[in-house]
Amino acid sequence: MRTSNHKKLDLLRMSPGEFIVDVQRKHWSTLVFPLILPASLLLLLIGTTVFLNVQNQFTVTREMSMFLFHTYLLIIAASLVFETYVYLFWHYQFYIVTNKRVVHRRHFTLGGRHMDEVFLDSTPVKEIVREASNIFFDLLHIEDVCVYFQRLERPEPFIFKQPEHPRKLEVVMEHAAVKKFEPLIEK
Amino acid sequence: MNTLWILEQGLFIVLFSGLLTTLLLFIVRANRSVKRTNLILPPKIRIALLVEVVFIALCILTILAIRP
Repeated sequence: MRTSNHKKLDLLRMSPGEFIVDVQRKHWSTLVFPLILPASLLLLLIGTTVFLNVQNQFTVTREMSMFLFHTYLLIIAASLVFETYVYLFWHYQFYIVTNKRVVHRRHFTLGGRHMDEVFLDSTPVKEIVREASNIFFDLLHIEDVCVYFQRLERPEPFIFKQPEHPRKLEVVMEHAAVKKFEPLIEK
Repeated sequence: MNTLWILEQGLFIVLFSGLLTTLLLFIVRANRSVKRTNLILPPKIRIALLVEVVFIALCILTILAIRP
């Protein structure tokens, strides 16, 4: 289910008069990057074994080949389990913007719950910054949206880390700053 | 069958069992998230989870089956 079909989901308990303006997950690339390390480790291990065997530097006995085979299987299995965690974490994590608040919610956690929310009525938006954390992310248009508030109790910004559509989120937050969501709802 | 082989077999069985337990824990927690949000997992992902469980179980069976 896409996050655009958020009306069918039970993501938040709404107060009277509250409606969801935008719901976004993190960018899909966050699913891919954790696989790079185990994949390269596996390739390096297989490559080294094959290379040494071909060069006759390293004679693989039957016991040794069994050990290596089990190690490969272990790396593959551990990568799959880790990727499952990453996927579930991504699938059940949302940035939700309503007409009254901004919420970061994780529904898949191993211990406890995570919910970070800022109420827009009592915490006016001061500044919105959209920036990529490194040059690679900049090329791929994977950006963070930082929202600063005019309130001493909340000096730290609300950070949308690598959302799916950072530009759209920036526009939504610009509307939140002036508290006019009607143009967005019509779309 | 030498001691080293038994140790290796034991170590791998413990590690794979740990992975299988972790995976089952994730599935249980995901089920709770489904109830909380009404957001079910896509069918492809459910099949992938099943394949993963079978794969790890097969790994354990392979370790038990192979003798040096």
